[in-house]
Amino acid sequence: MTPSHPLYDAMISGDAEAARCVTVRTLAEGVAPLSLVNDYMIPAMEDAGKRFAAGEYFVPDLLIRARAMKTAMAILRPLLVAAQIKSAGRVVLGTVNGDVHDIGKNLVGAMLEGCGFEVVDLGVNVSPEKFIAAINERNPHIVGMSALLTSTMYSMKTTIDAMVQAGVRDKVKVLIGGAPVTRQFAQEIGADGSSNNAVGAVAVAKMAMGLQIESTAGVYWRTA
Amino acid sequence: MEQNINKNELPQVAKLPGVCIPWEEKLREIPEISGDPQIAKKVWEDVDALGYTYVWHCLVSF
Amino acid sequence: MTDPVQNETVSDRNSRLYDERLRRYVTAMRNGKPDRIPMRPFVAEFAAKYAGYTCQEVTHDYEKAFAAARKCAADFDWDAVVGNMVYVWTGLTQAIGLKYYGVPGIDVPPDTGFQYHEPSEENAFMQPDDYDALIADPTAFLFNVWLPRVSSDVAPIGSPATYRNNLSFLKGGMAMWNYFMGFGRQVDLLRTESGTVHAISGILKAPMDILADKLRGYVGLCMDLHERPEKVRKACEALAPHLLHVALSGADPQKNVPITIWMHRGCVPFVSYKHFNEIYWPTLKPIVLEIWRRGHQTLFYAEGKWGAHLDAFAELPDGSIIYHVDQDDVFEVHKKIGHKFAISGGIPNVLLSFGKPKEIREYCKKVIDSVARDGGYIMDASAIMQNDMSVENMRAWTEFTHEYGVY
Repeated sequence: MTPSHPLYDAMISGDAEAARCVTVRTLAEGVAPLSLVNDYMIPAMEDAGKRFAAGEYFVPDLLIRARAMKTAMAILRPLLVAAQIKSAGRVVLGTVNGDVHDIGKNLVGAMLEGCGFEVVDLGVNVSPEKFIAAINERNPHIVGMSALLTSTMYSMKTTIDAMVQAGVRDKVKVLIGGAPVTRQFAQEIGADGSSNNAVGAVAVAKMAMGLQIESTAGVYWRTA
Repeated sequence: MEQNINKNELPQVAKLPGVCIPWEEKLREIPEISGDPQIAKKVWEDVDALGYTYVWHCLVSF
Repeated sequence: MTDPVQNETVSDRNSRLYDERLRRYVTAMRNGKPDRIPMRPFVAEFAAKYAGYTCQEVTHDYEKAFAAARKCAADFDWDAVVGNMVYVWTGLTQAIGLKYYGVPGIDVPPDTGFQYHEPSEENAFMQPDDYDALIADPTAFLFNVWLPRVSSDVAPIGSPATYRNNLSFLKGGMAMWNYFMGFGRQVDLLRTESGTVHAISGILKAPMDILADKLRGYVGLCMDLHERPEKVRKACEALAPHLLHVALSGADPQKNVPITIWMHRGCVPFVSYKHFNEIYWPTLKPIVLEIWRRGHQTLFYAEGKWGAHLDAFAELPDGSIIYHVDQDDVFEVHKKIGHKFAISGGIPNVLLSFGKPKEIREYCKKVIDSVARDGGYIMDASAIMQNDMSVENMRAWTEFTHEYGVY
């Protein structure tokens, strides 16, 4: 069922300013921050994800909704943190060593955030050492790695190998994505899961957290 | 953006492809041509086109 | 290749090979059936790896990049190559101080290919309120607004002239001239040293791609398509005649090899069908038609997935384009537009780089049997080949194409 609320509407229409105003107003009316996230924002992003998977929405549709979501989230996040509300999971995200492409990685970050995850974005050209440091410092449930090029995708393997060496591989689930990434490649390098699009990335992150998902299309998840 | 420019102050250049400063504009700066104006025009336009090539290739090729 | 001719000099041999290869390549591009399938691999950083150079070396020194491409052309029996598919030369980009490059050995490791670094939405080189100035006079906009923003050295209009500003134009202009002259020599050397055809001549970008790549950024463009689609359309219309001019100014005077359009952002899922149909295609199609009217083909280097737009491309006159397959299904593309246009590529880079020679042969056999059966096919990878491409696989792929690709 489609929620009926101006925040949901602002997210669907991608109106960042409306999303900001509604959030401020609704909070002033005494609505709990978590209820705004769970009842309107997550359903709106999940709706966008479903439409994208169905070929009805395109990346720009996701981006404009993500922008509205981020505007509202900027107001809500400090409140959620103060209330010690747990996210769906903490994800450390980065484009791997040698690769400076970030459009896909940023979209994945926004979709994850919009679906209730906490995202720590390490940026681009991220060395294995930086990923390892982030695992130790931030204690994420998931490490997400991105690469656009076949010439840089093996940095994902180098990073996983370095994580094994450093003894932190088993502390996290490793998910990979990007245009050249295949299920076979994910298996070969010892990743836990993969997807080649931002909506699939949310699905596989949910699987990593043991949450239910509606569709596994375009998603690889390692089975024991 | 660090460089906010008042667009009214921008030098006016031609809208035609291949041209930065049209010959007609240059001609107004020259008091009189006693020789063949076509020679002057051709050389002006050929070299002007190099400036055009420069900026458009910066955009398209590099 | 025909049987070696007895007592033939090297120069005669190369001249003969050149003629044979040009005929083969052009025949296939015109959707005809030559003596065998022409091979035209777009080797970029692969050439560096094969010739023993790092990515840093070929990006910083175009003579090394040229030498690497010529070595590949001489050692592999290919019909056509590009003189330097790495194409960016840091001598030029550093002279101008261009900010958008990830340079090997500086911004990325020395053996990773150069990349474009897209600024964040708020730091885009063109902002939403710049549309009117771009639309009014694109050339003036580039010189006066864009260049000072993309360059670390060019001074904005109205600010004091600087030493670095003056030098950037002098060095940038002369560097570009040097490089283009070098490319001209490279085309000749490919012909005389190994009888290899220079595969393409002239560059085109779709107006909306250029807007996304170098002006607004992809994310900025997405916001504009939502908030100010009319400005986007008008900007594309304003850019179009200039992009046509640039393309034609580099075209092959002999009208043999095509102008190449490097297409990326119009595909699925980067813009919606609506925006493709209302902006991307209507502002690109007239350019391609005019190029064809002037007697040149356009190579559609269709990066990504364009299968949903094949009907639009089929509106173009027969033979006006060569359609290059990246992530599309090459078999489906052939079914849909193979009767109108020649097709190139469609051999996945992941297979070529990391597959076994046997797997490559099997896949190419399938492509040759179904897509290339009646001619009109040029063998190439899906995307340009970087240094992940294996030399062994390159040999296996080339040999198989020659053996099995004979008509």
